[in-house]
Amino acid sequence: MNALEITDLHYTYPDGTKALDGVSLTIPHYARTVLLGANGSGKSTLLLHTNGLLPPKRGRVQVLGQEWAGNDMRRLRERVGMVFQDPDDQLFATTVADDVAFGPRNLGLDESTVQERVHQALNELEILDLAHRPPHNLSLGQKKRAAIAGVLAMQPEMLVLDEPTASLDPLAVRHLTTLLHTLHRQGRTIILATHNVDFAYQWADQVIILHRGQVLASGDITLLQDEALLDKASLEPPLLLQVFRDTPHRPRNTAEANQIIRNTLLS
Amino acid sequence: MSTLHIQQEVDTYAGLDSWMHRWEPRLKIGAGLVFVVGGVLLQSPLLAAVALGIAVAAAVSSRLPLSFLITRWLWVLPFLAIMALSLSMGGGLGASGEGLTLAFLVSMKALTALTIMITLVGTQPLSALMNAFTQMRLPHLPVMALLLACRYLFCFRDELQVRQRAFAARAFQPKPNRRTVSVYGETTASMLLGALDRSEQVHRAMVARGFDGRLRTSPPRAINYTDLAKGVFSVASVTLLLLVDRGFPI
Amino acid sequence: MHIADGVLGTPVVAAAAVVAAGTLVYAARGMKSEDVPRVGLLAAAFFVSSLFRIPMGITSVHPVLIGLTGVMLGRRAPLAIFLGLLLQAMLFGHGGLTTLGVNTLIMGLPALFAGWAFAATRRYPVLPRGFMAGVVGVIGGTLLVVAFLSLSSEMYSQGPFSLINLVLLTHLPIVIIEGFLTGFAARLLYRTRPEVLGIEEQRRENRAE
Repeated sequence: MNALEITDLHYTYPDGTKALDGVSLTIPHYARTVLLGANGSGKSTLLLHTNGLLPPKRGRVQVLGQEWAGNDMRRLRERVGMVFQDPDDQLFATTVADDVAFGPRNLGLDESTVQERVHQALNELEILDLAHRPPHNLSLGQKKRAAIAGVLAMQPEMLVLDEPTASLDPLAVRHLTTLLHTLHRQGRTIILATHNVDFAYQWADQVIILHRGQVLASGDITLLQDEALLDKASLEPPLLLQVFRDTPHRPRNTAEANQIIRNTLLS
Repeated sequence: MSTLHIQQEVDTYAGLDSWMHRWEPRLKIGAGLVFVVGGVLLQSPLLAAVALGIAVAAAVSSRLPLSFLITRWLWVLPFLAIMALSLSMGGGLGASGEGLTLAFLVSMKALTALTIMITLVGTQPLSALMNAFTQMRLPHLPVMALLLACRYLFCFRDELQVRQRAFAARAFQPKPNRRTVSVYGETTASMLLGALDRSEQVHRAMVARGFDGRLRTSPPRAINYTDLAKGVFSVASVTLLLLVDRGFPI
Repeated sequence: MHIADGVLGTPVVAAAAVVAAGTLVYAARGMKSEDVPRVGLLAAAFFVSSLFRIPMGITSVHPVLIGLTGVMLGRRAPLAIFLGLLLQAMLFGHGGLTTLGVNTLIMGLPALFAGWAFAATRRYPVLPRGFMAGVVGVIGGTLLVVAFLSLSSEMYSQGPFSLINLVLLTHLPIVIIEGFLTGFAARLLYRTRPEVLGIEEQRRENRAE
């Protein structure tokens, strides 16, 4: 059983835009998958199918081993947590704590359990001090953390994130990466949609490249060495690979790159 | 523009401590409503003035600065002044004592309602006020719409400021002509479209976290005897005024 | 275009409150959970949009947007307007608590009317339709203000500078501006997202599918 299995999925928006044009993919459990694609490639539309926000009009979508419909959707959304691209769309209560409590309360939990979960989630995201603040005044990084906390409070086993690194400063991106690492180690499947090739290169186990609503390729990060492929998807290779392109080395991150340079150039 | 002051002024004095701050929000709202309605029913200018006095006393004893109150009054004063002028001059027909009396009565009532509202809203955080709404047994969907309206008001307010600044940055000179109105009309339309798009995303985000139309909220604060006493006191005071107003010998 | 507390007579306010309650029930009927964010956010957006200050020579004008609200929200318009009035009363501290019913009618009824008029003229080009909706909104609202004032006290209609005359004097010049404002707004909506004009009808058609 896979975490996500999509077969020949098509989707056209009411205004006629065809966002998905026969997408098929498989995502195993506990994978760290990046849906990589330029803006408009269909990533967000695809993500909306993972928790039933968009029902499959044509094609099959199996999440956590089954197809979902009707009243079951509630349970699906308990198990698949989605973090939207714009945290302002997701923080709709008047205080952060109230917003994080939204999910657990909808699950019908009793108030003391709700408060426990809220506390736990805020703690995990290191924003306990923001509990009683109105979301409006927070910085983007704080808002993103509050949004993630709200999703984590539902204790999902699968996390789906839409462009989580967008507009974040480098420090915040690093914090996010650490957080994702922790969440993954806790036994979750994580699917992340982005056009940030460098991030994908450093974080992903599995990369699925999307272009104009179709899957161009699916594989591990060695895919990112294929410049022709990336070019077709309107993407650029990761910076490290660009720099080391004419060498036999393929460092995964800056530390490895430094090591190579130290060994070869500086000895 | 007064819009700048929404959030800042609403929560500015919310963290102070007074009998009003400590009053349970639902009872406070209910009692405040009763006082406002009662005050508006008064027919004697003198008693209406007394009601205003009580309202101001309540506001001041809640540690709200008088200057804050006066600033708020300034917003309705122009309208009241024009009305007073019109009425006291009999609409231009000649000085009218009756008109002046009416103007005075109306002003007292308007300011009383205003003062009570300001005190009601200013003595707890906005979030507590909104929670109180959800805890009163009102229909879920409209209340949820109100909560969302309240939350996103600030987003749109910011957007408005950005757009007005963008006008200035592009040396847009508003003139009383068709083109100016066209620019404002289209800007309004695009803001509304933005709101519409955002509302779709908000809905998706709500459903993604299990929203099913039912409003679930934290349990309300327990009501104690002090809360009830405050309620009884305010209802009694306005009832007393009304009884005197209607001529019942006390 | 709304009236402060204490200005109107008690029977007027009470009757208006009852009629307004009925209008709100009509406006909220059939509301689904998916309508909630739309109504809430548009209510806030309309409210904020009316705060735009349009300098017109020596003075400045605020958009009224009654007509546009009716066009975009259809039967939900009175509810959105009511929410806007509530927010204004709470957050701006301009009063208007006892007159929530009155003001909901002053703005909500013309909004409904403007929406119907707009929908009924589908065959015509969008700019004049929008203009008409804007005009209907302002004139309807002004007439209702005048009606409520005259029902409350004859002193409001006394003399050449009566309060009623002053209201007419200050509101009627806005009619033309508001007409064009609404017309241009509707035209942009029509060009970019036509399904937005007449949302409720669209939703009903979608659900019928």
